[in-house]
Amino acid sequence: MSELLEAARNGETVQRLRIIDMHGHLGVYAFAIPDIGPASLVAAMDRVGIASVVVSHMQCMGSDVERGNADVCAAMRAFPGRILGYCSLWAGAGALRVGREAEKCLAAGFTGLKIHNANGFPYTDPSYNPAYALADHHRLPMLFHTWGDEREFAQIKELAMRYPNATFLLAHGGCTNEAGYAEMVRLCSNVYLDLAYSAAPAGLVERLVENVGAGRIIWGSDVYFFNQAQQIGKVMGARIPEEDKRKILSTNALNVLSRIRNGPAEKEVTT
Amino acid sequence: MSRLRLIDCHAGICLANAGDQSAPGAAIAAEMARLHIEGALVRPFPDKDTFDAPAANARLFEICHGLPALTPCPIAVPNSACDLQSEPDMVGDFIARGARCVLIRPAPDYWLPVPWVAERLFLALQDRRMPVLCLESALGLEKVWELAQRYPQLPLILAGVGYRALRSLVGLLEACPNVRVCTGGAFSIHCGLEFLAQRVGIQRLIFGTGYPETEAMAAVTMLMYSDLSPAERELVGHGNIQRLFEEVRQ
Repeated sequence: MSELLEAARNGETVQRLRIIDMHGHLGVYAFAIPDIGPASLVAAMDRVGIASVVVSHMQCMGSDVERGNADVCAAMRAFPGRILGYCSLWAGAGALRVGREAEKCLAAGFTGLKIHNANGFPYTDPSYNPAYALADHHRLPMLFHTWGDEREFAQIKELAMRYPNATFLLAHGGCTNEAGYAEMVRLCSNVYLDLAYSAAPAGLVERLVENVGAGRIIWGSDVYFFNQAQQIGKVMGARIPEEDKRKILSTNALNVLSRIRNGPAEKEVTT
Repeated sequence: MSRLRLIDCHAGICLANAGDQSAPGAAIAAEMARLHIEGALVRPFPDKDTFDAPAANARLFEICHGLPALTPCPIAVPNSACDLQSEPDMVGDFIARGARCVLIRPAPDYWLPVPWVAERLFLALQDRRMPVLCLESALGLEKVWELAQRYPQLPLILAGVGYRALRSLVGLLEACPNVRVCTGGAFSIHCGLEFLAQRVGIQRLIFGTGYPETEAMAAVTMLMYSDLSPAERELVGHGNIQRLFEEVRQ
C-alpha cells in the first residue's frame, strides 16, 4: 500500500506534503451547505493536512462580485496563507470596472482570477481583457469553469494563446469529453486540468494521468460544494505512482503559484 | 493501530460481458482488499445488462456463494403479473440464500412503487424486516417518503443522493425514522456527514462507496477525515449496517 493511501485509509493527517487545493469557494449558494464559515473550511483542511486552498466567492456565478471579493479578502486576512483568493469578475460591469476590480484584488493580495460562464458571458467577452492582461503580466493562475463543451475549449484556447504567461486551470477536467480536455493540454502548454467532480468516477484520475501526464493535473476540490476529504480520496487511492500523486496534490500547484510575479501569496505558500 | 472496519452498503458486481464466472467477484474482492474494506453488500450491475432480474440474481448468488465478504443484494420485483415467484416465497428464498437487503428499481423493471402494484412485495419485505436499497436516481425522494410512510417497519437505505439535495434529504430523514442514507457516491457536500449526524442521528448514516461506478476511496476518505468521533465512525463504517442485517427475520 502506498504511503499516501495508507495514511488516507487510516484517516491520518498528511504531514510531509504541502497539499494545495486550487479550487474552492466561499459564500452562499442556492442549495443548502451545512457550514460555510471559513473557520469550518480551515478545520476540514487541518483534518486532512491541506496546507492552502485558493477560493473564489459563489458570486463568481453571479453579478455581485465586489461583495464576494470583499468576503474572500476578509477570509484571506483571517487565515493568511491557508485561504488564498481568486478574484471573481463580472463582464456585465464593463471593461473599465472589470479592470479596476482585478487591480484592487491583486493589490489586496489575491492569487489569481476565477471566471465562470454561468453569468451568461463567454470567456472571450472583451470586458475581461484588462483582467486577462493583468494575469498575463503577473503570471497569475486563472481558474475557468468548464464542462467539456467545445465552445468553452475554443474560447479558452484562444485566450491561452493570447496570454501565454498566465496559467489556465480548467475546472472539472475529464467530467465529460475526456478527449477534448486532453487535446487542450496538448495544444496549450499553459493549460492544466483540475479534478473537481462530485461523484469521483472510477478510473478517471488514472486515465487523465495516462492521457495528459501527471505534470499537467492539479487537485481542486470545489469545496464548499464538495467535501475536500471526499475529493482527495480519488487521488490518494488512484492506481498511479506515488510521485504522480505528489505532483497532483502539491508540486504542480506550488509551481503554478511560485510563477506569480511579486505575488504576496508566493512567500506564504511556497516557504 | 487497528483499522476502522468498513462494510460497503452501496457496491455492485458488474455482470456485463462476464465470460469468466469468477472475474466479477474477483474484481470487487481485489478492490476491497486494496482498500481494506472488509465486506460489501453487492447488487447486480449495471441495469442495462441485468434486465433479466431472476437471471441476474442467480448469477449474483452464485458469485457471492464463494466469497463470504460479499452479501448479496438481489433485485426484488413484484409478482403482480404472475410471472415470478410469489412475494413471500421470493423474499424467503433471498434470505435463505444469504441476502440481507434487496434492491428495487421500479422504472428499469417496469413497475410502479404503489400499493396497487407492489403491496404484497413491500409487506413481505416489511414482515421480514428486510432492508430495501433505493437508488435516488431510480426512485426519488418523494417516492421514498411514500414508501417509508406506508411501511414504517420497512428499513429503507437511500443511496446515490446528490450533494444538492440536503434541504429535502433532512426533511425526509426527520419525517421517516425507517430511512437511512448511504454516505458515499455523489453525497459529497462539505460537512454533510457531520451535519446529518447531529441533526438526525449517527444511526441513520451507513458507509457506502458507489463502486464500481465511483472511486471507492472517495467515500473512505470522506468518512476517515470527517469530524465524527471514532465511535461514530464505527457505527457508520460497519455498525449500523450490521445491525440491520441482524434484524432480518430468517
